[in-house]
This record gives sequence, structure tokens and C-alpha cells, in this order.
Amino acid sequence: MIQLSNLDKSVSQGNGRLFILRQITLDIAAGEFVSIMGPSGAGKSTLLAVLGMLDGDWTGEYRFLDHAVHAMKPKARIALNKAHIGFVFQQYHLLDDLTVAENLDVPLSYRDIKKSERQALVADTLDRFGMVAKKDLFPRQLSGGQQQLVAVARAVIHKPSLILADEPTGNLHSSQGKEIMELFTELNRGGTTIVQVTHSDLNAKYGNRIVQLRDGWVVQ
Amino acid sequence: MIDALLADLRYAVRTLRKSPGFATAAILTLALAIGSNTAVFSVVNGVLLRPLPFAEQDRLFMLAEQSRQGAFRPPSYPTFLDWRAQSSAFSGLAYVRGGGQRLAGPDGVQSIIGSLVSAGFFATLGERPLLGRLFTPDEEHSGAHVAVLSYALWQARFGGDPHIIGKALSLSDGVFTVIGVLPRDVAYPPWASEQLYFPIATVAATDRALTQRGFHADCRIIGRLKPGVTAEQAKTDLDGVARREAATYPEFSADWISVALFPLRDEILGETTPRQLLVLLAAVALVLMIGCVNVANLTLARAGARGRELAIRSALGAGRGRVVRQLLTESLVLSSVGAALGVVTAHGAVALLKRAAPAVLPRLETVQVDGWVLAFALGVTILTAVASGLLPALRAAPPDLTDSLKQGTAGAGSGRGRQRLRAALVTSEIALAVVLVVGAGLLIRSLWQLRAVNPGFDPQGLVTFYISPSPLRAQEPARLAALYTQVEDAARALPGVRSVALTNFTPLSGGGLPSPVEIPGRAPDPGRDPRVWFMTVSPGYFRTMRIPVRAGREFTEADLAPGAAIVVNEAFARAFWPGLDPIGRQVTLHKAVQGRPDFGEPFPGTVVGVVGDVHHFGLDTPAEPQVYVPFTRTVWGHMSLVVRTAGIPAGFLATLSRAVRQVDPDIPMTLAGSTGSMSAAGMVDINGGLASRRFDAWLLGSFAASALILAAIGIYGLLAYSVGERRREIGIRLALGASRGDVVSQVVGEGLRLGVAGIVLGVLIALAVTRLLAALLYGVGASDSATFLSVTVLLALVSLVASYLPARRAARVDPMVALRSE
Repeated sequence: MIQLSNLDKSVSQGNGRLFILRQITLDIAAGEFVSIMGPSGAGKSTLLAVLGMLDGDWTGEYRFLDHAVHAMKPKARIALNKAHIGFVFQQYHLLDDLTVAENLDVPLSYRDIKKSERQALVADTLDRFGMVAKKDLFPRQLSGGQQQLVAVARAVIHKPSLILADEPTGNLHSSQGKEIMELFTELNRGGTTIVQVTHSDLNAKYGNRIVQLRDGWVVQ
Repeated sequence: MIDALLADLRYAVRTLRKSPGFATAAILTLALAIGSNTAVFSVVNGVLLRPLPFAEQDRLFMLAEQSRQGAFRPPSYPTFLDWRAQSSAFSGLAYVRGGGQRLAGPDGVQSIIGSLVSAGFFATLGERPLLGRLFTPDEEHSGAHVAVLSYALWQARFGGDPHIIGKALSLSDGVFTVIGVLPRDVAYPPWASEQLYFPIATVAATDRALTQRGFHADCRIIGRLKPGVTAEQAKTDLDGVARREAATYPEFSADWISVALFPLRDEILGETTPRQLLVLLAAVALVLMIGCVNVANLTLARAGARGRELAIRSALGAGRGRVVRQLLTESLVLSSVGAALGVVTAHGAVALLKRAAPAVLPRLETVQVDGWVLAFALGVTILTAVASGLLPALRAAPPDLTDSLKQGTAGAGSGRGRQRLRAALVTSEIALAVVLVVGAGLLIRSLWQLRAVNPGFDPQGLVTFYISPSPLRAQEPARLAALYTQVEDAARALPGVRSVALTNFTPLSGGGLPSPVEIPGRAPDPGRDPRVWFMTVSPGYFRTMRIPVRAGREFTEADLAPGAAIVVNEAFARAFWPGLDPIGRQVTLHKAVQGRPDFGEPFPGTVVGVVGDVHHFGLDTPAEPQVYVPFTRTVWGHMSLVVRTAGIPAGFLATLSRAVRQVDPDIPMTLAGSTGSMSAAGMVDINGGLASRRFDAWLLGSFAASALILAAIGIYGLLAYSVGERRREIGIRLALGASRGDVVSQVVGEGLRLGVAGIVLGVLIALAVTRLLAALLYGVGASDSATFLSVTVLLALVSLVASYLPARRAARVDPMVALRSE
């Protein structure tokens, strides 16, 4: 599904350049559950952004489902992202002024989906994640775990083939974190490829492969 | 307490210096708002509020005869003498009559306006001289050759010579010694700012006009009520006198059975001035409101960013009142700097107004930024500080520490309440801008409509020249007529001249004289019959003016010999012979030249032609019935030469002046005072009479433009802050699949929603308030749909542009940077 080859990411610093990712060569097959680990500043979140096509400023090759992402224009990358990728963030990143149901509708509203269909999808997802009773609440009225549950639901509502999760349990109690990880496992069993960034060895064990990053290099 | 206030002030200055962008935007907005208000208030104060230069002006009235039908006319001198002898309601009653005077000087003869005043004129007004003294009772009664100058005449003709007192002036009526100069303010009567006064007794023996009863256009009677006497009591008193006059002199006064009293102040300021100024004041107040809303909005946005600072202050023990005081101090500092700049701006604006539109408003030349204006500016500054600062201060001062801390970390944008409040403020400023732009739009449309009005003649290439021969010649009509013909011939011989003619009153010059009309077989109906204006012209007048002949013929040279040929205009024919052919019909007019022995004599005429209507008194005044007679039939004491040229050759006016002077070197070159819409150079400018409307449209237009700019800044500011605060939200949306276009349309959509709400609200308010403008409009309704539609589109476009700039910035948000920003 994902093939990275000699991918470099750098930013200018003073007279020179600071490398954040170096010579990344990595294959992720469809259906895998990969955990990216490493110390702070190792480039984990940046790698996730590159994979999610939110960051296009890199060199090297990136193939996604046989699309040469490195040769694509920004608009085409966004289209690819829209079609296949869902995001889960450490800070949940729910929109504060929208209700749970409205938050779930956001990704659908950016895809060419009819309103009636969107309503059906939101209703299904609320049901599937057990949040029907909470559909009219605002994020601030939910616990952290519940908010992350909404964030995961939002990430999967348009049925992406790849979920990218950046420290999805970083702000949660261990019991809540466990719940989220089990949810990922279940999604993975259903065929969704999952790439998560995590500091937690325990969470990493939910996946079937660990990629270690250090100073921008893949070390393991 | 003082220490605490000083500390607040120091901190306020320091805080504002740390946010130069915010401070500059707020100060410039306030300078614009306070400056325009101060400038307009200067004018309102100078023109309306400041007392006239007359003592106890509330007791001063202008008096006119009133007919059974409700018409008014200035009384004749004999009528005035009767009123003065028989009325006991006034402590002073005085008469003044204006006329052209010829002032001989080293540069040749000049025309000025001379006002002949009865005994007690200045005492009745309660006026004091700036220089010298006014007439003594002895001088007034004996007819001493002494003169008093208005301030404007003193400045314009004598360069403000401080040694003018005692100087001798050679005038038409003899040599007069200057004994005084009036103060710098309006000159009464308001027929000219430059005028010279001398006692009526100097001409009483020779001026026949002073013995004739009936209508006299060029005079005024003023009265000062005795203390304790009301205007109603005075009217009752004079009504009795008027009824006796009507019975005694039925040929002149049969219908004029009562007397009307008009406050002198209203006569001087005019009917429309107060309304005109109040409209401008209301408009500029709207600009101030928009300015306050804008600054309040900026302050609110900034308060959002200062949430942490305010929370810490509260945590350290500052009460709500203390925080509010701190924020209000900042507003006051902003307003004060804005006001200082505003007063400087107002000073410049007033100077500009006085230069650009001197004749548009009475007393405009005396308007200045004085103590009252500064007090007003101070009041406005405090009001502005409170209006723009209180709401944000109350909203920002945290009632609950935990609340504010939560708010500070909420993340995706500022608090909903604050956002809603700011949106409401922006909506209201758009609404106010709509009201102003609609008002300006209606005035501008009125101007357009007026420019499209056909004046009834062709002003292109037309030059007019005022001929005012020595009054001695007026005593001999035949010689005077011969002089006019010589002048006409001299002008006709000049190169570039196509045709030449004479008339007593050129269109749009403001001059005219009504004449009583009798039509055989038709009973006069004083209540319904329109006024008929008496015009004397030379053959070729209609051809020269390009006034179309609709039926019959125009005058020929043969009509200059004694005969009965007259020409009427279409308005005359419509009024007196609707549906009938006027040619060959009989009319009896009355000779209308005052001061002549044949004044008022019947003048039988036969209609030989009908010509097109002319808007004689202004493009915005309907054409009235006119009757034209050959100028030799009743020779006027002054005439205007109208010259049709092929495009007015360079130096033509000087050539024409030379040619006229070769005929008679005694003909003055200029006429003092306003010649209405004739330009100083003598070229006909049909739009000159629209100066007052242009003044209103320009001022209201510039206020509307300011309002538009402020509203655009308001929308831009709100969205720019909103985008800045919502970077994370925008980042999330981009990460969830939103395209840049989605983000742009979302932000623009928010701006447009505000715009539409403001426009709807504004249109509703405008529909209610533009009715107040109705008196200033021409050919366009107060709820003119084209204007409202154009304003709606304009405001929508402004909202679109103002929203697009922040939207573009939103679309450039890097999702990863935004998502990491926590």
C-alpha cells in the first residue's frame, strides 16, 4: 500500500538545512497495523504527516496504492487523502463549536456525498460507536476518552483504507487508552491499515510491526 | 486614587505601544470619526447655534403683507410709514430697500449693492459697529451723505483698510462719507454679503419708488417687538392696520388684509439650512457610531487575546471594576489621541469647506473651530471612549477566574459569546453604512436627474453681460433704449458672435418680477391664478437663447415701435387658455418698473407667438408662466446682454467689455453680490444653481465612503482575527479533507452572512429614515428601488472583497503547523 524510497525532509536553518527525515525507505502492506516509535524530535509526527499527504515539502519517492505521490500536484494529493485516509490526533482536535454529530459530518461534508446519505452514515457511526445518546453534546461536555472515541469515529466514517493516528491515547487514562487501542485492532481486523505514532510499548504491541525512528533515520 | 489613575494611564500607554497595529487602526478610525463630527459641528455651531450679531434676536421679525389667498409680499414704503404710525406693538420698525449703486474709483466704475435704510434701522436690529459708528437720528432724518459698510464689502473692495472711516465714496446718489463698518457676520438684508448702507432720507425727494404703493420686490420691513408683546399680539395689531389700508387703497391692497411675521433668524438662515445641516449632523453621527463599533470590535478581539493577562490580574486580586477601569483608560487614551488628530483634521476640513462652498450656506465664512467646538470634541471623545471601550471592558473583565482560564485554553476560536457579540457589532455597522450610502445615493441620483433637466434654452456658447447704465439715463426711456441698442450692435460686430439680444432678467440669474394679468372674459381667481413673470426682450432673443417658438412668431424690429405684440410661454397658455389657440388673444399687463411714473399702468397686449418653457428660477423649480414684451415698451433701468458665440473665443469677455465701454465708459464692469448661477466670467453655467445640492451630495457622499471603508475594515478585521484564532480549526478541517477552496468559501460565506444580515437591517432602517431627506430630493423617491438595489449590490461586493482577503490567508494555513500549535 505504501512504499517510501529515500525520502528526505528538511527545513532551512541559518545557512544550512536541518534534516527531520533522512533516507526513509519503508514498505507498509495493506492490512498492516504499524507502530512508529522513537524519542521526541525523532520525526515520527512528520513522517505521519508525509504519509497523510498533509506535508508535501520533501524529496524522494512515495507510492501510495500505485499512485506516485512524489509526482502529484497538491490538488491531486488532497484528492488521494480524501479518498483513502483518516486521521486521529493526540489532542482529539474536535471542533469545539460543533456537536458530536456535526463533528462526524465534517469529513463527509468535504466529500461529494448527498446530504441524506451523510445523515445515514452519521447515524450508523453513532450507533456503531455507542454514542447515539451523546450526539447533540458539544466536545467540552465529554470526557477525554469519549472525545477520542468521537475523533476515531470521525476518522473512519468515510471508510478510509488507511488510518493515521498520532499518539491517539497520549491524553487518556490507561483504561480509556485500552478501549481506543482495542477499537483500532477491531478496525484492523476489518481490513483497515493502521499506522500509529506512539511512545507506549504497551500500545505498540497492539500492532504487528514496529518502526523505530531516531534523529530522522529508520533504525529498526 | 490619583496615583492609581496615573498608573493606569502609564500602563495603558505602554500596552498600546506594544500593539502598534491595533493602536494605529483604532486611532485613525477615531480621528476620522471625531474629525468629521467636529467639522460638521463647527458648521452647525457657526451657522445655526451661534447667536446672530443682533441683540435679543428672538424679538426680531421680518414683516410681510399677506393676502386673502395666503400669498406674501414685501410692503411698499408708504405702507411701511402707515404701519409705523399706527402700530404700537414694536419698539422699532424699519424699512430697507436694496438697489444697484455705482461706485467710482481709480479702477473705473463698479456696481455694488446699496441698501437705503429708514430711520432706526440699525437700532431696530440692535447691531453694533466693528469700526466707527452707525447713523445718528439727525443723520437719518436730515439725509446726511454718510455710509456704513458691511464687513464683506470693506474686505473685498477696500482690502480691510483700517483707515476707511472718514473716506469719501463717489456713488450714484452723490458723495458719501464712510462712518462705520459692521462686524464680521451676516449682513442684513441677506440679499448680498457685500453691501453699503445709507439713509433713505438722502433719496426720499427724488426716488419715485418710495411713493408708489403695491408690490416692491426689493425691500424689507423689520420690527423689534416691545418687551412683553408676543408675535400674535403684534399681528393682531397690524392686521387692523392692513384692513384699513385695503379699504383705503383698494387698487393696490384690496386682497392684502393681514400681516405675517417671520422670525428674522429664519429669513437669514433660510428654510432648508437647518434641515440640511441636521441631515449632515445625523449622517456624521452615523460615521461616529460606525467608528465606535469598529474600535469596540478591535478592542474585543484584542481582549480575547489578552484573556490570560486579565485572568492573572484577577487572580492577583483585581476586582471587576478595577479591570474595567484599566481597559476604559486604554480606550480613553486611544480616543484622546484620535480626537487630537481629529481636531486638526476638522480645522483643515472647515477651511476646505469655506473655500469650496462659500455661497452655499449663510454665515459659512464666519465658521471656525472655537471653544464651543473644542468642548464638543471633548464631549465626543469621552462618549467615544465609553461607547467603544465599555462593552469590550465589561465582556473582557472576567467575572469568574476558572471560566476565563477555561476560555483561554478552549482552543478552537474565541468564546462563542464574544464571537457572536462581535458579529452583531459588525452587522450593525454594515447596517449603518447602508443607511448612509442610501442617503448619499439618493442625493446623487437627484443631482443626476437635475442635470438631465432641459433648462429650456441652450447654454452652450452663451455669454451674458450685465448692463447697468447711470440712473440719470433711466429718467429718459428713449435715450436708455437707444443706449441698449448701441451696446447690442457693438457686441454683434465682434468676431465670433453669432447673435445678440437683450433681456431684463436672464434665466437662472435669480431675478424676476411678477406682473398682474387680466384676460378679457375671464374673471381673475387670485387663489388659483399662477404668478406671471414679466420679461422684456429685444427681437432675436428667442433665437439667441435657442428657446423654441411653438406657435406664431417671435418679435421683429417692427415690434419695437409702439404696438401690442406680446409673446407668452407654454406654461402661460396652459394656465390661461387650456386647449385653446393663444394666438391673437388679448392680455392686459401692468407696467412693472418701479420708480417710473408709468409704474402700474395697464398695458394691453395681443399674443403673436408662443415659445417653449424656461426653468427661469432653477432646474429644480418648475417652469412658470412668462410673458415677453419688446424691451422698448417699458424700458428697464438695467438689462442683460445675451451673446451667442461660436464656442466662446479666447479673451472674448475682455473684448466684449471693451466694446461695451466704447459705447458708454460709464457702464460698470461688474455687479456686486451673487448673480445666481451665472459664473463670474459671464458664461452661463446651468449647473451653478445646483451648488447647494452638490455640497450636500459631496459631504454625504464622503461620509458614506468613510462608512463603507469602516464597514469593510470591520468585516475584514473580524474575519482576520477570527481566522487567526481558528488556525487550528482550519488545520483540522484541511486534515479531514477540506480543500483550500472549501476553506475560502467557508470564510467568505461567514463574511457574506454578516453582510447580508447588515444589508437587510440597513435597508429596513433606511426605508424608515430616508423620508427625512424627501425635501432635498428631486425626481427620485425616498425609497427609490434603483438606489436601494445598487447599494445592496455595492455592500455585498464590499463584504465579499473584505472577506476574501482573510479567506485567502485561511486557505494558506499549513495543517501540520496548525495541528501542532497546541
